Amino acid sequence: MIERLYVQNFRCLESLTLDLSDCSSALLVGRNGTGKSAIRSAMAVLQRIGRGSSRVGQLISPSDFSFNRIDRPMRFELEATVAGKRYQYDISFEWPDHFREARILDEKVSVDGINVFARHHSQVRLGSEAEFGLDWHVFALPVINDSPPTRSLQQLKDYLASIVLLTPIPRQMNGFSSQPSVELVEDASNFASCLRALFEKKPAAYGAFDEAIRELIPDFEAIENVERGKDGRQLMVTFGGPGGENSFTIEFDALSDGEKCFFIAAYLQASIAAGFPVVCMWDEPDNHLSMSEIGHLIATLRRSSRRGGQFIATSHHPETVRRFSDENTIVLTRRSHLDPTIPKLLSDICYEGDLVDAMIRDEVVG
Amino acid sequence: MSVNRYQPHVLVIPEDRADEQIANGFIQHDRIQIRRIQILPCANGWPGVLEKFKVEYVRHLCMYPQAQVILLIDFDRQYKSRRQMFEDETPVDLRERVYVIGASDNPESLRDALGTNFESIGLALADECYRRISAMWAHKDLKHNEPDRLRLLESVRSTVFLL
Repeated sequence: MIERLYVQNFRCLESLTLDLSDCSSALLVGRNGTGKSAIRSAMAVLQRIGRGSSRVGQLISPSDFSFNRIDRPMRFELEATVAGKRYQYDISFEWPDHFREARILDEKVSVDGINVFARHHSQVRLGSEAEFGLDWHVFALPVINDSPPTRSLQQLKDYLASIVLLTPIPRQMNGFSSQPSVELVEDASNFASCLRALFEKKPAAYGAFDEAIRELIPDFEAIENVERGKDGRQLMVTFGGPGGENSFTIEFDALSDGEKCFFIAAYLQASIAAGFPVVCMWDEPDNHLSMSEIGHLIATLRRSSRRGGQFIATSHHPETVRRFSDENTIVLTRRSHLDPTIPKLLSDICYEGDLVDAMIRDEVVG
Repeated sequence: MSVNRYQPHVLVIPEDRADEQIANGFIQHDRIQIRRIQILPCANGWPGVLEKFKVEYVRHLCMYPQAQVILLIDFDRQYKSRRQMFEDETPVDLRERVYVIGASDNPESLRDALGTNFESIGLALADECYRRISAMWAHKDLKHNEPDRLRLLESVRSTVFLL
């Protein structure tokens, strides 16, 4: 679970601390341009380091520095609890004059307060012993491996890599997979590959998936991955009438946009049930859903995240706003494009009357 | 609404944001069948709940015999009179499917007394319903709900919980 995220000098986040301690689910709300997407991008930087991006230039460009101020360092700090251990990963970048890409200023990993490695520029120190040099444009975390039985760094890398950042485009989800994948991409276009990987790695996850999708789509009967071409698979979905009568099967591609989002939600729940601590940040999970289904989906995702994952939503939809509470709703405010984003817990903000009405009047998000 | 109106289902009408958050906590319970319960938007005070109930949900209860309605209100230290007011406005043949629940004063006092947040209160109350125990329900700000709580255990419990 992410406990704290600190971002400095990154896009509109000049100095932002997101406190998510003991928060298995949270909602980010705010006017357009207050930094919701910037937070997702900050998470993407950490996710891509975990997934093995090695060079700074692949992740950071001059326009990522707040107001293009490359003369000041950019900094990310993440505190997370993983398998009972408290991890802290800090990384900062600077952009010296005449450099073609940013370089790493500092990078550090600690577990339960004990340093695993710390670097300054190119000098990396492991614990309190060995030191070695590393290209200052290359991340240390992906290239340092710890030996069993510790595996602390691998656990952190796996954790960062498993962060799911979602802005699904259901039309891109056609249900075809050429190979399994464990990294769901933002538009969820490789959903079929990820579901295939989950079932191949943890066949028992099908039970949890089946249970989750039946709760979201009551007449769901089965999902099957049929062979299509040499290595390809096509997801086929079967719906059934009461008692299994009049069942019919369609290609996944023929599902509605909202139904495809239900399948993403069921995949996330099945992943958590299978023992993968999914941290999911979903941009507008209410998109494509009918009014009557939104609260239901949000409640489902929030509840499943209590079992081991973490669900962070960003939304403007009243029904989503209502399904979170004041202690887990973070309001992002920003006076103008020249001002920094400031996060506040909704429980620390006074508003009169109905919350959604107050948000429409800008009394909360203004 | 996402509940199946032709199957047993429960609609919850909260008076305000505090009651809504308690309801949010209630449906976070692991054994809740989310498709069997729907939390409706806040009704703007107990008079709003009463009005909404009379105008929209008496009709719903008449049309769908498997529907049950929980009205979450603040009793503002007037339990007897307010409970009676709701009962008077509920057609006799529907009364067994209507529950009026709330803090003796308001949820904020209850929260302060318990030193927790609304969601945690809702989750704890759900757990006690599921386990058929009464610890938080026996709190001085909630114990007046006993008649409705016992009726909840008889009918709503089997509807919303996966037993």
